[in-house]
Amino acid sequence: MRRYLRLVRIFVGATLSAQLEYRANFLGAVLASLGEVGVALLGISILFGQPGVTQVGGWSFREALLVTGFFMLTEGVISVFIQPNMSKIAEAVRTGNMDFTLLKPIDAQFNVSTRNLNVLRFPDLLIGLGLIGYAASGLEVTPGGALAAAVLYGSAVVIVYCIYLGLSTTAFWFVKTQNVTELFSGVFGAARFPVAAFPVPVRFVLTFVLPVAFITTVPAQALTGALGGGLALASPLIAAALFLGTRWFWRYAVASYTSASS
Amino acid sequence: MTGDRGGAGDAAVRVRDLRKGYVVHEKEPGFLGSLRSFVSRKSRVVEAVRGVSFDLAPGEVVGFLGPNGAGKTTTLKMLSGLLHPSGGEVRVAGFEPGRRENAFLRQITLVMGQKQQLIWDLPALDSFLVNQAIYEIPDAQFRATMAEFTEVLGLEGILKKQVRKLSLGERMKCELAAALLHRPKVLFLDEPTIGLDVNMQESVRAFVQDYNVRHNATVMLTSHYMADVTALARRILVIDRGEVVFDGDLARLAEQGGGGKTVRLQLRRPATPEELGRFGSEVRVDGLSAELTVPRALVSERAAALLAELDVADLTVEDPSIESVMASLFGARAGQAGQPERTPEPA
Amino acid sequence: MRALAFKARVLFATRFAEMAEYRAEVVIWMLSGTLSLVMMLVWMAQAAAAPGGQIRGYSAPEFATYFLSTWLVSQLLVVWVSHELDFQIRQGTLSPQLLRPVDPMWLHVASHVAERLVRIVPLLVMVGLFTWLSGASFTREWWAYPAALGLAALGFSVRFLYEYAIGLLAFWTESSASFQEVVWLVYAALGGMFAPLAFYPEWVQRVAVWTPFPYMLGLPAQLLAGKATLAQAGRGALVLLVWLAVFWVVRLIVWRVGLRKYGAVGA
Repeated sequence: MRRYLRLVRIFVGATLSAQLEYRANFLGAVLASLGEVGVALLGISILFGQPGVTQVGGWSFREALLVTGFFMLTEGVISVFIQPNMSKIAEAVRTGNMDFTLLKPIDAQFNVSTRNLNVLRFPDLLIGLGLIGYAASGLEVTPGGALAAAVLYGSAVVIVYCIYLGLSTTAFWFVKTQNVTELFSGVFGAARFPVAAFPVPVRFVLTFVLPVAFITTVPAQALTGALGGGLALASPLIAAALFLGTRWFWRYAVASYTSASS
Repeated sequence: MTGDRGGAGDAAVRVRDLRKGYVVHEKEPGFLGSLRSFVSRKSRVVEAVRGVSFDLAPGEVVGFLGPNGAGKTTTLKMLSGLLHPSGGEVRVAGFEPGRRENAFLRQITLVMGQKQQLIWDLPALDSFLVNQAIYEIPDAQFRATMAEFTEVLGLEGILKKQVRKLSLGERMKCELAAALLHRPKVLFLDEPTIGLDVNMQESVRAFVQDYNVRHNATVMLTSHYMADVTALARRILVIDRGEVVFDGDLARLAEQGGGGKTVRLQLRRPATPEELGRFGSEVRVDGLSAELTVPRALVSERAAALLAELDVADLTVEDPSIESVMASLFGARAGQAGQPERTPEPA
Repeated sequence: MRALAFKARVLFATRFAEMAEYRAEVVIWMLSGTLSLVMMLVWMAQAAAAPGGQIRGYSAPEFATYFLSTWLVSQLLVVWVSHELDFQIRQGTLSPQLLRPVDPMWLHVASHVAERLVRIVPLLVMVGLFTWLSGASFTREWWAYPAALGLAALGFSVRFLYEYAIGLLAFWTESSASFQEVVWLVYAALGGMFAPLAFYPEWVQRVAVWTPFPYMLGLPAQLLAGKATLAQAGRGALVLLVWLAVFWVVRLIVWRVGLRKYGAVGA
């Protein structure tokens, strides 16, 4: 365990210095982050700005803003931590450099998941946290609620990671997987609003078929204390199940890669 | 041909009846073909490696030769644990490679000339530090190894340049250093000099030789450049269509392959190939110089006859080059009827 | 002239064959642009919950019609040329293209147009499916369709040119992708992907009318939904033509200056 923490430190150091090579990009990235948050705010304020509208699906403006905050934060987590690693899996399989990863005496899943960071999108994380903080400041939040939200957001991140890893692992069989993760980001777009804002059948799909509700709505509900026990329990269970499932899938993929059919 | 090199117990690499078959799917070209193969996929098993056996003693350097698609890379990948054999037994440094235990991975390395593991945007030194962490190399050993490699490979001054700014040769040197940083006991080198100029090839060779001597490491090497093989390896394994067709000394390969010696002539008066054909086979004439192959047992007799009957300025007798040996080995085989097509190398 | 037509035909045919190879990806690209669809669902739920069943005169089916129309039009406006240019400039693969006696822009035009043809069939199937699922109903006025298509074609040309200019920024900066993202956001917001433009705060509307975005996306969508007149379409077309001229010149200047820079530094 200590060894793996040390490795994370080394990997982070290496990827950070690689990106400082391109420091001029920072300005562009900050611009993009600001644009992103501006448009998200515009979207939600149009929704609430109509005459006679004070709530959307039972959520007040502040509460919905909380969901937008978690959405931005998750976008940040994806583009800082997850996407930069996952997109390299397909590339490594295609170029054959995956061989080097498999020959290293450390866990290969750990290796492919921690090697890269995209620091440029770091502002997204801050903006997300800032939005959450701002929205929460106008709501009644108990310490217990905050703790529950933190834990549930943790399992949300695990869920997102697992979905990405699962989709990217298909690269061992299909070469063009970038498009599949595109598809997930399309679905993830629905997470910018609380699931209650959607028609009932869609709400059902976003909760039980695609676990989008668990990524932003559930942590926001935990923060405001509006979360039922069932969903609170379901989130870590789903995260754990997905983690074990994708771990198995990853190992299966590596095993069949090494007993290669092609 | 095996078994006489070190007991089976202390062999660095021990391979018995190693096999690997691939399932390949066949598809007709074009859209209709895709459709047809979508409905019913035709597939067959191709045997890339079929029953290979050999032992390598610790510290031994072996050249691993064979035409493209003979199964060299497949074998190396099985030895390093990247591919699981479909039959037979492999032991490398006492481990079963397919299990990819960490203790095993620390003992070996695989260098692939066309692929690279260095971080593109960073100086090579950063990649070395990453590998130091991954292989848990103690600082003192890391420094000592770096000092050794810097000296032998001439890395001075290029360690702190970004990899993307290095020349191909410099990059390859760094690749080698990164691959050997953890001081593996068994080295698998797959085309380590591919694409390099002659000077660079030379220094890569010198480095491998030095490492072999210093650390008594076992080296298995494939290369298209015969000079790599002749400079480094005394023992040669030749594989063709998945089978070992030769295992022995470099010198013996020359005998077995050509079965004769090359006689080179410098003439004062031109001679026709017909005239020369009386003295040997595979006659080549180029102006006043000529070359022909003479059976080993008859060399002195034929040389005397040549000197007596033709106006010869100079005559030399040589072992045939390894290229021509390989050409005649595989040229002869390629002529056989009904040979199965070459198997694809795994990507 | 005949030589030019021949060149264009060959160029187009090969690009079409290439795009047909990518048909699976084309469908996935279509499905990944979900913002319109997400907004459609949210607004439909809002209208259904509102007293009187509508917001600002839009009932749930009318929201469905509007957003499906923006989705359809945005599918016709898809442009990826800036990514491609960014990649080519940074990898140096632009150089071989410069050796050919044709402006590389036309290669990109050909592949975009060819891709549209590959896209059209699955696009119509999906629009049909979504229409059936959401209860949307498009206008019965026949003239609205050619008018919307014409605006979309103009809008595509405008978008292609400014995206091309953004892609060329890669001659100077590594972050042309970030600029592209920002411009996409503005396009989506002011184009009316979040709501019909009339729903926006007034100051946003005042800014938006000076940009090409409402005319390339929102206006054709309104035409299909039967909520815009032919006169509005004509005015929109004029505005787009002006922008087309502007971006034509801008792209040409950026290209010339960029090439000079490229030539000086080398690939």
